[in-house]
Amino acid sequence: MQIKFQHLLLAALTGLLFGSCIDEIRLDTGDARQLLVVDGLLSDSLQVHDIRLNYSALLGLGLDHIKEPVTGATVRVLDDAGGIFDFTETASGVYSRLMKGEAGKAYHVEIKTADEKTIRSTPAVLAQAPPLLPATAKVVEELTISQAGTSLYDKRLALEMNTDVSAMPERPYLRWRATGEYEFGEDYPGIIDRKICYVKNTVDLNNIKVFDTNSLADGLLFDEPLLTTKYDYRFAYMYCFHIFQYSISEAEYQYWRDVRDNVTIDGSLFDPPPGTVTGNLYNPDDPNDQILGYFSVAGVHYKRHFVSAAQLGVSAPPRCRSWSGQPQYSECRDCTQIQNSSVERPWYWEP
Amino acid sequence: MTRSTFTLLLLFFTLPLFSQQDIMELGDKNAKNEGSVTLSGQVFDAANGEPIPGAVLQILPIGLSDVSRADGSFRLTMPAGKYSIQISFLGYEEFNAPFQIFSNARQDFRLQTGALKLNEVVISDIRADDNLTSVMAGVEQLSIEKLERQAKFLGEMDVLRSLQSVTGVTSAGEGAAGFNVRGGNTDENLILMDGNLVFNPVHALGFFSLFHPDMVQGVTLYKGGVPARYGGRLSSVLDVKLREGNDRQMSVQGGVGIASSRLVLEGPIVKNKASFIAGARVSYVDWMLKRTRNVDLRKSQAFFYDLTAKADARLTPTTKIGFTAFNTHDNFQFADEVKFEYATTSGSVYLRQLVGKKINLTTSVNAGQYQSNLFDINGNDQSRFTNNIQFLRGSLIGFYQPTDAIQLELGAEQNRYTVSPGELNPLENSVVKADLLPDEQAHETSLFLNNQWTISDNIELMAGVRYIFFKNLGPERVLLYEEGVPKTEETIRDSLQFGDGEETASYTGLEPRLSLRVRLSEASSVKFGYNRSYQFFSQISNTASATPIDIWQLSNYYIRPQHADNFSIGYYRNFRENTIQSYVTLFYRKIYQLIDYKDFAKLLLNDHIETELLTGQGKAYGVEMYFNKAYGQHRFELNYTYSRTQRQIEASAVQEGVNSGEWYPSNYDKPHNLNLNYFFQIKPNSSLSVNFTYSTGRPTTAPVSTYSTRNVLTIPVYSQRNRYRIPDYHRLDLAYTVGPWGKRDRWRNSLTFSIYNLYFRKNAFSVFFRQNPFQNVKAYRVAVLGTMFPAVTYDFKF
Repeated sequence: MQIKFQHLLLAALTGLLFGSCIDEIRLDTGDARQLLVVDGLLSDSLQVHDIRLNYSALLGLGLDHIKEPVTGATVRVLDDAGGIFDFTETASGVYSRLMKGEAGKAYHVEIKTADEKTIRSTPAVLAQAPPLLPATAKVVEELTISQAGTSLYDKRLALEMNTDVSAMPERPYLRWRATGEYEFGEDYPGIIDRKICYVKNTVDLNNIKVFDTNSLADGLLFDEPLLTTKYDYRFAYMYCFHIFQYSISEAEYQYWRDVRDNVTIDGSLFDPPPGTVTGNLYNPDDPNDQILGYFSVAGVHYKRHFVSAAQLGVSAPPRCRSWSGQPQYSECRDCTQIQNSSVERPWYWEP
Repeated sequence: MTRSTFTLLLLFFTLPLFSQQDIMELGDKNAKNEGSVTLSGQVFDAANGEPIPGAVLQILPIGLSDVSRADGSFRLTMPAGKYSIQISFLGYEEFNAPFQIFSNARQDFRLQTGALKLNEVVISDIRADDNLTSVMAGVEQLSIEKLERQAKFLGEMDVLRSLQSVTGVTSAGEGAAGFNVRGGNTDENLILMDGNLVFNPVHALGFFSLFHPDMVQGVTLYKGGVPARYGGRLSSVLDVKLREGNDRQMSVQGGVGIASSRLVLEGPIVKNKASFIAGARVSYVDWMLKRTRNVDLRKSQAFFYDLTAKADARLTPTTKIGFTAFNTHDNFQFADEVKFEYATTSGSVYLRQLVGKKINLTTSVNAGQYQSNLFDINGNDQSRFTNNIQFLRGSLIGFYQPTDAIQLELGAEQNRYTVSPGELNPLENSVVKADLLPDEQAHETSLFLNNQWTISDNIELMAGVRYIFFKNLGPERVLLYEEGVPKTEETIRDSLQFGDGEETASYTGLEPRLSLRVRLSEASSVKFGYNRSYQFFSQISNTASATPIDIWQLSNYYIRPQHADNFSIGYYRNFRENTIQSYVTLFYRKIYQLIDYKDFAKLLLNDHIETELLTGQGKAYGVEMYFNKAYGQHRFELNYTYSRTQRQIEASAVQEGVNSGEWYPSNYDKPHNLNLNYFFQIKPNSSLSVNFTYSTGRPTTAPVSTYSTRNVLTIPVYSQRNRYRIPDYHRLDLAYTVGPWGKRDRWRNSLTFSIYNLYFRKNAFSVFFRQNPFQNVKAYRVAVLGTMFPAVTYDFKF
């Protein structure tokens, strides 16, 4: 009885300041309209560059994640030396061209939609990205308590960035992105022909990581957290992080900071109010026409970073273990069932 | 026991008490007066015949009271009948006498110096017909009695929470620091505790106020009709008075609650001449948090304490001196996400002298500081951001009452502010660079004159004027921007350097104050109020509601003072010999040079903060309705306010607009507000109170669509500022108090059982939006207190 009372008392007290609860509600925002979105990147890497055009998706219609593409537009990139680079529509709403930007040149995009609407971006100078130092990957443990009151340690893999910009004459603004890829081995009782799949993995969903190196005391940045992800079977064999470091303009840095402020609002007392994010795109014929998105002009440095349980010295049991008596998953018999998987071994894959 | 049996027993036991004393008979016995009568007179020192200003006179059992003026005069209006008068004043024997009044009468009283018996005195500055006779429109007085009738959150009476049941007073929501008065921002309230300036009146995210509940004597909120002696804020004045200590014997009072405990010690320094009172309050939520199962809560802190002390001494029969000091501290941390701490230290001294028979002079000095620290406790950026305000205030106020009908007040006030707007210090292993913004300082000098003139029995006028001169002083580097374009970091072209003490900007303001009361009948009055006010020191806050860590900004080279014109007119009507009070008031406020913020404004460590601010105009208007049955076993208080508060930021060559320059609601625009309080005195030592509150949901900026980048990042597109509203707020609270019990002059106890949010309403503080992978975006509400909170508090006094 005494223990029960103590628990009730604790529940009341702890709820006092931290007992906030979050639940879903419906909010009527039915008078909004769709806006045109431009999502483009030009880098100093020779590759097929895409510029995507679509309309924003209205909330509350049940189809929020479906973006209506803008087809039939004329898209071209111009530099400050008179160069014009036409993009062609390779998929619905996707305009592409194989090209490479040059550091020091200023670029902007010009778009004319099928309904004769013109969109431009403000020119931005392509700045060379500083080289990436090897990233740091480590397994961290987070303490959680189960419903039964048992302490549990949840293992997570933390990926941290290291960069040296001390030699750069102007301290750059950086943006990092990462994607993942892991090895998946089939295993089932009586297995004969064991396949290995390579699965593309999204690890930085809704993760915006930008950094102003002007804030560094000595130009050296170590162990800057980029992302964490659950440490599980994906790391049983080999996992490859594809890490991109972009040197972006100050305006783009500000854009991503504003986007991050809007994305990370969680309703707390200390949230700054959301706002209208202004990118670098505009309609020269109608200054009040709000164009969403950003045409990014950035130097890029890319690095692969392989990690595995063996390297990290922390076990990560594979998903398929025919000997363990664990329930068998269908992908353990056919790993190509996994979305974004392929049996073709990437050329860069480490043994 | 039935109610009638109880009444009969009460009469049976109390009638003999009355019969044992001679009853003073006042007025004309033959008068057939069935309406109100007035008892007037003066209070004198029996030894030397000097008038006593400040003596508290109470008419029992109806709770009517008055405070004697500079010449000792008083005036009390009540229905003809039998009462008892009680007069008390520091250093004098308490006077008690039964009397019967037949018609208007004059009676003087003489108080003896010397020891008094300890008695429980319910102090109330509120007369039953005060709402009719007071000249000031929009003034709310809360006595301890009234505060105690409110259902208490976690069993503790609280000044600020009780204020929110007053018409025209709202807050952004549970957990919001501060309060909003008639559409004003939280920083637009001048908050004083015994003359000490208070910048942040809350503990624990606003769930408690820093005013020690056992030390508060009374609270006055000026929503309009602000006397000229107050200035510096646009919306209101909250004047909290602490009570003086017991100058005859030591006593201890306190309470033990489930979240905090409090203690007050008081007693004589020199018996019958000087007394002290000291109180402390401490929370122990931290201790509880460490014992929870939730890891985030174990890492969290919610600690606060406050220490308050006051001493008063009568140096001579006409000279009194006193001081009040307090220190408060708050630590707050939630998991690894947010941590901050803040503290206030302040002290004031006053000297009050009666010069001749008609002049009262008060000299006071107040010094203090408010400091907050915000911690970044994650990753490589671990750091502490500090901002600090120091202030020194002095005032000299003369009160002159040449006749019964005229009360003149003349004074001067000087404020000096020194603000450290930001200092960033890296914590261990941080890559953050230390940074420091230079201090800012300013002087604010005011002269004021106020006259309260009783023109006739039915008409009273208060007219005043306050003149303010404000100077912002160097050292300071003022950045110069290209002309004709918005101020941004990119348009900086030069700078001006000002030396130490050199004037960087100066502003003046003339504030007329006017209140007029016309008594239409014995039971009704009409009041009109107008005042202009300037504000030179504003809180720069860009969060959903003000927080303890927001910086304060002085008016300067670019930031002009905000000012406002406030109008109100009210009809006041009492019923049943003032036992039922009501009013309807209309108000309108226009705000000039109103400050708002650009989207994503960066306010911390910004040495060009003018680039983040927008200026425009604001307006607030509404109607307040009030009904109060303040006497008897069953008491009701019902108030309803309809009000709007809006702002307009138009685009120009030098600034961008908000919402295309159209009027838009302020963050705290909540049109409908309803409060109901029911108090039931079940028995002499047990009572029940019930509170219900309702308000429209506050405005919010909501996402209306989304877009994606490379299918990895989903970015919400938000509506115009404050285009939508969060759901409405409503809540029901109960409190049941047993006590006091125990021997009257010795140990006294009481227990309060309370339930906050009885029906588990999940009131939204805010709304935000989240998209889980491959799902639609959904709206979520955050309820700070999303459940019911029972509590029990034990109070004692001996």
